[in-house]
Amino acid sequence: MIQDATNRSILAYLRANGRASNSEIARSIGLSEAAVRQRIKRLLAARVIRFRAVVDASFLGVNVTYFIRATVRSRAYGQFAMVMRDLPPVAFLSRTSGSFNAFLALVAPDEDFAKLFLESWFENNPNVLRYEADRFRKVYKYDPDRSMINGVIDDFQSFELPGEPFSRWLSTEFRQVDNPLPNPTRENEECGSD
Amino acid sequence: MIVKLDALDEGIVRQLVADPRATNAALARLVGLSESAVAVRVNRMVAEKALRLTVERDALSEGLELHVLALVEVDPEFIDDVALKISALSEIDVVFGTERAGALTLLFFAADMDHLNSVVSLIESVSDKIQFVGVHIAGEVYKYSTSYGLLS
Repeated sequence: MIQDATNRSILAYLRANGRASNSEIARSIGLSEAAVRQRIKRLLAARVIRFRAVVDASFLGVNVTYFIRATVRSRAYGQFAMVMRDLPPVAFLSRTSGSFNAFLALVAPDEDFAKLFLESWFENNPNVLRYEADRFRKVYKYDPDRSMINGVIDDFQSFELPGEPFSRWLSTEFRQVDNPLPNPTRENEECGSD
Repeated sequence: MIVKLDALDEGIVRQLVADPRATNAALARLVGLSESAVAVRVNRMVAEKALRLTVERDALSEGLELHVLALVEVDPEFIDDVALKISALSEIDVVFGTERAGALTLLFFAADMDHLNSVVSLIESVSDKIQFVGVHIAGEVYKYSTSYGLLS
């Protein structure tokens, strides 16, 4: 469906400006406005495309980003993933195959928060066998026109204003939690041991 | 870059995240501005790279089944040069530099293992300053927050 040359022209136009009107697109590629509208509607319905408004992270109070490569105990992976998924500062989490099994992006207002977060959730987590965290320095290319529209288990849609998510995670839930994971390994090991 | 957005900008952005194709007229009603004032603000935020309005294509629908995370080790002295050369490859979607000297993080899609290997060869061929390309295939994606990105 997307291979169609007309659709490609429409998408190329929309890629540069996702808010271009149907009539503007129609004029530029020599199609009727109704035809453009119909084609976009079909692509959306088939979940072959989606429109996105992407906000710069700094607008949300994010000044520090870390990429974390972690090796998580296999038996505790499901629980680890569920806990991480619900933490607002975790922007991305994927299971990977290779020399580590979890790749995460952590977003934070500052270095102090990031360190505290890493210490509590990774350094002191019995389910994390080892991890490496690299602070993001520079974007050379950020051009994800292809995405995982249909492959994502939980597409995180929430959008919060600066200050809100982080102050909350630092001052209440985050700091008061001494043992963030409620002994998942111990339970699992007991169940799994012969 | 420090992006300063006022309360009206924030109102517009909230609406756009929820519905990127909302008309200016609809946005104007929701935030209490004129249609032309909304258009000016949206254009300004896009120009300042506080906001990107775009369309994404589904990789799976195009037969790209492997989502690949690659870690590239480069002679630190040549990192910018190599990063720009890799960025020029249309196959690669994302190139990030981190504070670890000589390390680049890449994201791209591939149809299958043969395709993946050909992309890795392509990356390796852009510069003899590349020391190693490590590849990891993303399996289950538990969270993929695309409402905010590193635009600036």
